Amino acid sequence: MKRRGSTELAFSILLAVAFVVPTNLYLAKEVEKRRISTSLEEELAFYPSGRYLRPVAGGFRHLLADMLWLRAIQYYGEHRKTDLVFDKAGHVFEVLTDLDPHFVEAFRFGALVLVEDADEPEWGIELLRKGIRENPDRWELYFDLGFHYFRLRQYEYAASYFHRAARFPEVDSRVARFAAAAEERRGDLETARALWEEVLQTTNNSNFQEAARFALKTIDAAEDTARIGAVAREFRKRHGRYPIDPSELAARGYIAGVPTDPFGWEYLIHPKSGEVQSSYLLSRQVNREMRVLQKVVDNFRRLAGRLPMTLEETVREGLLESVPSSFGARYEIERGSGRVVVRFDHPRLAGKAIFSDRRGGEDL
Amino acid sequence: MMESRRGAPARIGQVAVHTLKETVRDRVFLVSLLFAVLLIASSVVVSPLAAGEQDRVIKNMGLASISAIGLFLAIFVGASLVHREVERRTIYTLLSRPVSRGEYVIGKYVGIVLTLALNVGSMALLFSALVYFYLDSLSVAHIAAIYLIGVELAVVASASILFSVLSSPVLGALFTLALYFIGHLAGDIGTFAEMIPSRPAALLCKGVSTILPHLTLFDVKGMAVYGKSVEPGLLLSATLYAIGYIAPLLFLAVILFRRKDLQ
Amino acid sequence: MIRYDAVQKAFRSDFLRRRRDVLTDLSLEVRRGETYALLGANGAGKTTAMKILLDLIRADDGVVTICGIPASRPRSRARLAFLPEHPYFFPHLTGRELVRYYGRLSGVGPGQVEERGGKLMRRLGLAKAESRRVRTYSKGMLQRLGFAQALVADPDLLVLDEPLSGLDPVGRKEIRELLLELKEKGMTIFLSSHILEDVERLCDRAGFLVGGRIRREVEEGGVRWLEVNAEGIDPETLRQGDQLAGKIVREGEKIRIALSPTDDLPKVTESVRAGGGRILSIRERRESLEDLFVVNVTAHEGEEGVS
Repeated sequence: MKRRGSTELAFSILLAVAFVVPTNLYLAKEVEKRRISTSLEEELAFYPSGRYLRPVAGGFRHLLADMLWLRAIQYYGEHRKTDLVFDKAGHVFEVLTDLDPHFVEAFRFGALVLVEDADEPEWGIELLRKGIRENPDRWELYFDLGFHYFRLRQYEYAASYFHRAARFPEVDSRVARFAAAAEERRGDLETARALWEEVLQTTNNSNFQEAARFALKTIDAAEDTARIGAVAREFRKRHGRYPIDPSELAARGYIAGVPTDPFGWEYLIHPKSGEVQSSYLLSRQVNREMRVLQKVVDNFRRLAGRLPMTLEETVREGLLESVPSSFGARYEIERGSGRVVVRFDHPRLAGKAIFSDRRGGEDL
Repeated sequence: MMESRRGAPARIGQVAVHTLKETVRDRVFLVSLLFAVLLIASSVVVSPLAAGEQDRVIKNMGLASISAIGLFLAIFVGASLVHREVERRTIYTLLSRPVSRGEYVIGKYVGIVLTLALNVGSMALLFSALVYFYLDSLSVAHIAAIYLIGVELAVVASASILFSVLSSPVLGALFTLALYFIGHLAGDIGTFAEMIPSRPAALLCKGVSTILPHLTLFDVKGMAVYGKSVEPGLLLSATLYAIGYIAPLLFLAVILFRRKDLQ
Repeated sequence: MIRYDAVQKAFRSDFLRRRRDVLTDLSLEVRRGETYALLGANGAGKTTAMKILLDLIRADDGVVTICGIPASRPRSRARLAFLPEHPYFFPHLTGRELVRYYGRLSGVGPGQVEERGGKLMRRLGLAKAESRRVRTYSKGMLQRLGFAQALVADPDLLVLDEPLSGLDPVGRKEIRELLLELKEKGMTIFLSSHILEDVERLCDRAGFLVGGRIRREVEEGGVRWLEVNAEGIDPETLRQGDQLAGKIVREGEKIRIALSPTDDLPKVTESVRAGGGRILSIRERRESLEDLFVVNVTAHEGEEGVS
């Protein structure tokens, strides 16, 4: 009986590893498809305020900050693809920047998410201010602050921050022009585009870049809708009604070719108001509004013990500011289930009821 | 007398049942069960402090306890299982029977899986009773979550058997524990790989992420707590995934054990 | 039934990377029905040799078979039972459960295992303790339990490592009687032991494991040999006949030849006379196992075949 050679052992190990690789490549994806990971939220909820976490983390706080950053990116990515709700974002970035106050990218990206996606502009601004306190030598933070103020139409603040950014020697002269634009209160699309393009230049963060590119696309869409809207009004003067859709305009030679929105979807024209909208952006907006409304309805049910009769009732009770009606959308509460559904009086969308837990942007 | 191949499942079964008996009678098992009861009970005591989130806290703590206690068993009992018998020389009389080394290792593994099943099963009963009667909100997702906890533990157990063949109980337990944590970070390593600028480092991370078990895949506690529905395809694919790891780990354990001289 | 063929085994001491040869060229045969004792100093490799038989350790070279089946196959152990030195059993099982487990593992059916197990426990005086956990057993009880688990599978071959060590005289007597009983029934027994008087009483043959191989095998009844004293002849001349190599010692002018019963006495005396020598005396000698043990085992370093 001889002892078995080490070649057999090496071969066995290789075989075992080889078996494992396809499992991870294929089966793992199968599981992921069906699994909703909410663990992120759980985890994030367990992080106490950064102030207390910092001394505890000790020498590992930078590492912890990195791990949190990874989590934050994951969180952002996941929710962008699904429900577009980012209510944990502020907390994460606060803790993150408490752990590592010189993590400039965290301030920048955090503020972006808060202002653009999470609907928390004041928080985003506060975050940037904190960033400036900790890192007074980083021009990007001043620029970002100016940028956000500009988009929020607070032009005085925007101008002053752009000026301060412009004072840094390494900064482009373009920034000074933004300051000028702010002073002139020029809230036009061209300036907005230039601003976003500047943002795109200043960052290596792919998420940031994606956000910037998305914003640029919305600006493209805005320009398109303005253009199509003008043509539609022309049409109305001629024919006494608005066109059914852009293809009618094209058919009658008002425009050359049927335009698609920057996301590949079609443009819609509202028959009564003549409003033009990108269907992609509309669906995103509607889904977001439905989510908000659903929360309101659930709150009402919890407080009053019953469903509200109409959404106006929730407005009366002070749970909702006003009922949105983008593009003539009518939001209703389904009897029995309490789900918020939306109906459109636009002929192309009529009859389609959209439920609030669908993933964003897939139904219209 | 008897054909050795045919008798293999029976022998594996005997080793497995014996392992189950041995482990269950060991104090460790009883203590862990006691701990489980304590933890689950304490979740009921603690939860009123949670200001309206009582539901969540009880469910979260309950599921976490099942996971933690089961993990403790899988690691500490598993890691010492083979080694203890070799150490104590009880294995001499055992292997002098017409049992092959492979049958022995697999029998030991099945034994510890049975033990875990017993342990997790008892905790599951307790938890389910609690959630059903006290919270009145037991759902399929809870059962699914517990099932997947069990499956994850089966994977961990196969690693601990492998390590118990290789080294001492203490080291084996440490290695298995380390593998557990790294398994939970495996996903992050993969994400990390996409973010690193350096190509070779990114490739290394990707490679490591492809070899490690992604244990987070078995975690559907969140789905259970938030009341999301679990489709059977998830359970099936997760079980297959687990087998995809258990098989090679046991295979290696058998190969390594066969080469071992039992001094 | 058992056959060792040129078996080699070396151990590497990891600390010093030194190679220690334990078995260098072990060849022996145990025939069916006989009781064979493996004798040797502590650390000579007796336990190692047994473990190789049981596939607990792998030899570096050589072949070991049981009834023709290589020891590396589990099937070779189907009719075999082993009792190690200082046996230790699963502490949490009861005696009964233990015997049952081992029996079932060897393929004994459930009904049979209960019946046989019960009988054995009674025979070995463990009936009262059979429901108690093994943890509580005394050393003597463990030894007896060891026999119970060994015999429950009704083996043809018993392999015993120091079966009588650590027992008080009463225990030893009991086990000896048991072994004799089994021997009567035709059991093949392969054992290792220090206690020579027991070996003399029990065994048909014994082998001295010295320097990693069987230096000398001894038949029952101790060693008998013919001592031939001669003079006037050069040992070298005699050694041409190679059967005598290692059996000749010079004592001054005389030489002494030790012949085993199988050697050809007339031929040897012929060779002596042919070489010009004169036979002084031919005597029958007997030596006890103990003497043999001492001589063979302790003096093996650098000596030429004196027996």
